[in-house]
Amino acid sequence: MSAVTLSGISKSYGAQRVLDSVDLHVPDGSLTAVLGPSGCGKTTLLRIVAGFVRSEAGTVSLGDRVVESPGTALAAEKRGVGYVPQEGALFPHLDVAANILYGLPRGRRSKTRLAELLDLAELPHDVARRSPHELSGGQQQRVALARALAPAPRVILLDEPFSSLDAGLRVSAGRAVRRVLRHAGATALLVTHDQGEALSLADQVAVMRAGRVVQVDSPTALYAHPVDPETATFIGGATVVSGQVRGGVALTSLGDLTVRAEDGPARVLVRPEQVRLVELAEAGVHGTVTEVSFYGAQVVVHLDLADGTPVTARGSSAHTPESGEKVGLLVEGAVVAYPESSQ
Amino acid sequence: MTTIRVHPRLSPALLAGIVVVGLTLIPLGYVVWETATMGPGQLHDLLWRPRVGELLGNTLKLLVTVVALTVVLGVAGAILVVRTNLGAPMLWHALLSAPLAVPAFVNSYGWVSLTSQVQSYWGAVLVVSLSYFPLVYLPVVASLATLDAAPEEVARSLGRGRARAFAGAALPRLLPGILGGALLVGLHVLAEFGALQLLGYPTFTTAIYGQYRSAFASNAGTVLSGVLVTLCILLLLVELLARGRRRYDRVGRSAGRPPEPFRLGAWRPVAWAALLGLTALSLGVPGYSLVHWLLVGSSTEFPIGDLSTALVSTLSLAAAGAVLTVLMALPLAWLAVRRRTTVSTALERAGYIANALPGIVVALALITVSIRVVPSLYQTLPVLLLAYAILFLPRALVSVRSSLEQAPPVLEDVSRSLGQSAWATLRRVTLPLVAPGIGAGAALVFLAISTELTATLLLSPIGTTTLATEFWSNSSSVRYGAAAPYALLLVLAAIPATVMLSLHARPGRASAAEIPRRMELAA
Repeated sequence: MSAVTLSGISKSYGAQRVLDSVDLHVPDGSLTAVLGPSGCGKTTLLRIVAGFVRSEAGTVSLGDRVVESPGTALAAEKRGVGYVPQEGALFPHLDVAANILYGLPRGRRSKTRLAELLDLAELPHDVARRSPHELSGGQQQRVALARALAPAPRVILLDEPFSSLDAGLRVSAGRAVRRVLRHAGATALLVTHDQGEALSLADQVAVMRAGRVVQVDSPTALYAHPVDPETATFIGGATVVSGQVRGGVALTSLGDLTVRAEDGPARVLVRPEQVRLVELAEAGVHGTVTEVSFYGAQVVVHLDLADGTPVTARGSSAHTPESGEKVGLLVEGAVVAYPESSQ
Repeated sequence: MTTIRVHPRLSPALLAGIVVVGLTLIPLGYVVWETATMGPGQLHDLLWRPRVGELLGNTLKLLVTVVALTVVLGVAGAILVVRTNLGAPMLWHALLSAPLAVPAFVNSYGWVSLTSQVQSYWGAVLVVSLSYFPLVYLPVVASLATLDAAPEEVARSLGRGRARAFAGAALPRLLPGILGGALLVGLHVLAEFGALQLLGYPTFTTAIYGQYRSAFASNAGTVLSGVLVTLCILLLLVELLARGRRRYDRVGRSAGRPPEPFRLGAWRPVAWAALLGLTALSLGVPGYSLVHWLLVGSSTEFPIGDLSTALVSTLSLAAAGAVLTVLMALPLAWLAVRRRTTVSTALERAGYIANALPGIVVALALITVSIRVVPSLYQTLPVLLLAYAILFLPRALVSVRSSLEQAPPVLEDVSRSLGQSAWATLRRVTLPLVAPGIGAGAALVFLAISTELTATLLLSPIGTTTLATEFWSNSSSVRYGAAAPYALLLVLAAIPATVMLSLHARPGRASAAEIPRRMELAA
């Protein structure tokens, strides 16, 4: 396994600039998620690393070997980069065993290696003789992963690997894939548009927007300190209110909030789980409940403040208000503020 | 810094595609060029003749009646088999598809050799309709079998009776299948030569043949060809207009449920009698006739030597023609699936033009062009094979195209990422995936060539006899007994393709969207 380093990668299709000087370092043995809305260029980035598409500028290095630069490009089959596309793309004419062993030289396609890979991918041994269409979506995904891992590649690329699975299966499939990758000690680059997936699975998340990488951070750092309000709202819902920062306190319609920012006008970010609903008398800020979405253990409450500002709160369903009820609001913990001038 | 190519390169595939389309456009180009350069005076004289008016009347009269009759027979048969409690649906399905295995010229041989009364307008209508109604029946069965019950149930919950609910909510969705089938019947009627010649019913095809026999490649023949091709193209346009831009796809994605069958009640024996009668006419008569002449013929002569010569040359011609046709279809299908541009789409469409070209027009054009351009090629194997390839390119194209769609490029990406070279990827992934479809396309072309009459008759090299030409020379000189063994072999050769089509459209399976395209493969 080896680290992946991209520097200054650019790519256009016709007049459209898909990738604009992208830099990214994927540390050895880590799982990095590239997160962005569809059309932000993340899949093109993956295909450049795989060697299916040439970049126009910049370099790609696997370990200390440059595989892609303006002058030269190593062919895809010589890069040693495993690829797990959407929906797995298993070879439909081959059974599971032949799919998994496809990338190994003839002499190394042994029963023991197959058994190792099935175990690694947490697949029961009796699926080996089945056809891809007889497997569930999650199983197909794990066979595709085992197939990609079989030749012991330096890096594994996963392109929206869970997008075809239904919601319930996604979470468990994601965790299984992460376990498998950890076990194999693989360096992995995962492309997704689902922030929950990126935050829960990756060691490092790179947020992409319109062909650029806007922030690279660990999931916790990314959630706590998004680089701008757009990133903040993209990574988990957030209420953004304007206010004035004075001496570590932001004065907003949600009250006076603790903040670490310079004095001046600012946009203040409040996460739904920071908003606590209390009795009217307990808080200085009041709001009217407009909509209640009940999720069993959790409840998401939409409110309007007196001045009409919409606010979202998320909390335990032990305290579920009624629609139309007037409640008090408290904001817990420090908030993040962005100076207004930066916008 | 590398630059991105915006304009498509002239790749080998594109070049091959252009060559293929160039070859397939020879017959149409010839007819257009010849009529355009003829001079208005001569064209007018050749066109405004009572003879042309008579042929046009005959052809249109036959076309309209046969299309109407086949639509009635095909739709009624399909509804009885799929939507009622008729019983034994698979048996009836087989019996109603089976007439496709009897080539139309063999069917009319069966009738003519028993009674000369069919040598009339109504006789022609009867025999040709009995040969072609499965072309409507099969696509309608396929659409009926995949029809979801929900819209009809909604119509009934809104107060419609069963029959009105079917007419209002189901019938419109069968329209594409019916129109597609009717178009095929129409094109077959316009192109039919052997059956109508035996039935003594003069249309454009028989007149073109007569011109060729008496005056070889004459301007009169060319003008008749031009009128015939125009009729075919008009028919395609009529179908296109009738189909319109309406869409009948189901909304939503659930698989759907089949509706409850209509209960026939006291009408059930009537339905059985009607279907039995239809089967007796479409299969019983030619079957009886064939057996009769086989028994009579075998007592006098059973030329095993001639038979095997004809069989061997038929099989070799069919094999060579199938290989050539598939090779010509490959670049067009590749471009259409993998290199989608306006140019590649136009090239693929052009490959389907032959659907509107009767065999006699293709044959006549190739004869004239080969004599003028490369006289040494006249009446040689390459010209005959080219005619087959032009005529049957659409069938090969449909199969090869859908097989290429079975091999999405992402599978090749995965293979490359697993360390396989382009060649190993082709051998281990692409070929295994596309081979079955290409094989099926080749098989369909092979079977179509082995029962092809018109082009073979006009183009086969001197001394080459095939099943169709031997059958023809015997039956057209009223040696019915001698023709019988060849007729039997022709029927046997047509059975596999019929079984393929019949299974593809069986009640209860298949995707309706696929059927109209598949039906282009039909006899």
